Amino acid sequence: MISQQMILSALRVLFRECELIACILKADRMHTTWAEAELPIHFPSDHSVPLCIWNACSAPKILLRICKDDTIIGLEQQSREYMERIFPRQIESLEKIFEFIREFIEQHHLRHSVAYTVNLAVEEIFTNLVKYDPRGSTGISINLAKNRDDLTIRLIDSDSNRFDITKWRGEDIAQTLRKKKVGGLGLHLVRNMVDDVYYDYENRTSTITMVKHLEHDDVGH
Amino acid sequence: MLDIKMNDKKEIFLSGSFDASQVKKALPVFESIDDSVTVDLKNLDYISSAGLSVFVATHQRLEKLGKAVRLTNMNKHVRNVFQISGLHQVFQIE
Repeated sequence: MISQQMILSALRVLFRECELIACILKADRMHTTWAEAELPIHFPSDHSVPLCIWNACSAPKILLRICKDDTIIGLEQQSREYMERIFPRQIESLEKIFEFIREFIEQHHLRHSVAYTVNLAVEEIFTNLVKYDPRGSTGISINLAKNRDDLTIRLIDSDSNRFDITKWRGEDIAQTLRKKKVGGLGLHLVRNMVDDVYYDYENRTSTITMVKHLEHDDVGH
Repeated sequence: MLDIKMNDKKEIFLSGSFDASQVKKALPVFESIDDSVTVDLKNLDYISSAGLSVFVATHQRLEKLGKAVRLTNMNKHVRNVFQISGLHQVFQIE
């Protein structure tokens, strides 16, 4: 069952993703079989559009509607727009992770250059989470979503220490080499290969969301 | 999966994916090099920072011996990663 904390954490990320909201509005019209349930959450907002969130578990996905009295209604739904899977917290998971990404790329007919960026963004963040919290008690959830003009790549680690990658300041590579150790190279690559990076931390849950804008020729036919 | 081959001229040929899960496999090969080396990347589809770090460590070690790492035949995606990282200024790339 989704916790209130998970929902609030996801909402903070979602409110920065206008395209995603538009995409879910479309899904709202396409799906009619939800199980409606009221959630005791109060969120100060005048939004009245449905919002979709991802939970830390693989299912169910839920769609949220914020009512006039700030109550949020949760509507369970299944969407084909995104894929989510949980992977064991170990470097050896990478092979399965790349397979998962390949499935997503093929499903959406995305070009090789996009696949490369998604592989790299996921690998760098996943290995960072494993490296800094190797004893975390949970797996790490990876969620990939294709919206109209972009991709959202999200990793959720619900047993992690805070490490806000958006506040990390990169180093000049020559300086790194002089120090005779390579550190931060992965984050440097991620921040230069995706268009936006967001970080949220609540209740030991780190949510890293990366957005890659799609060009016209990034999608095949 | 990363495949590593070395010929009689001590040239290294990499193919597949050089990601973090392949570093343990690659390290013994690169750590055994003590002379200038050419690494052919024609069939290398993917490299992440973990793979780059192996190249950098090899470069740093060989540089002290007056030797160099030369990288050849990289595809445009791998080349792009080298350029973004700034490492294209460090290695001899052909």
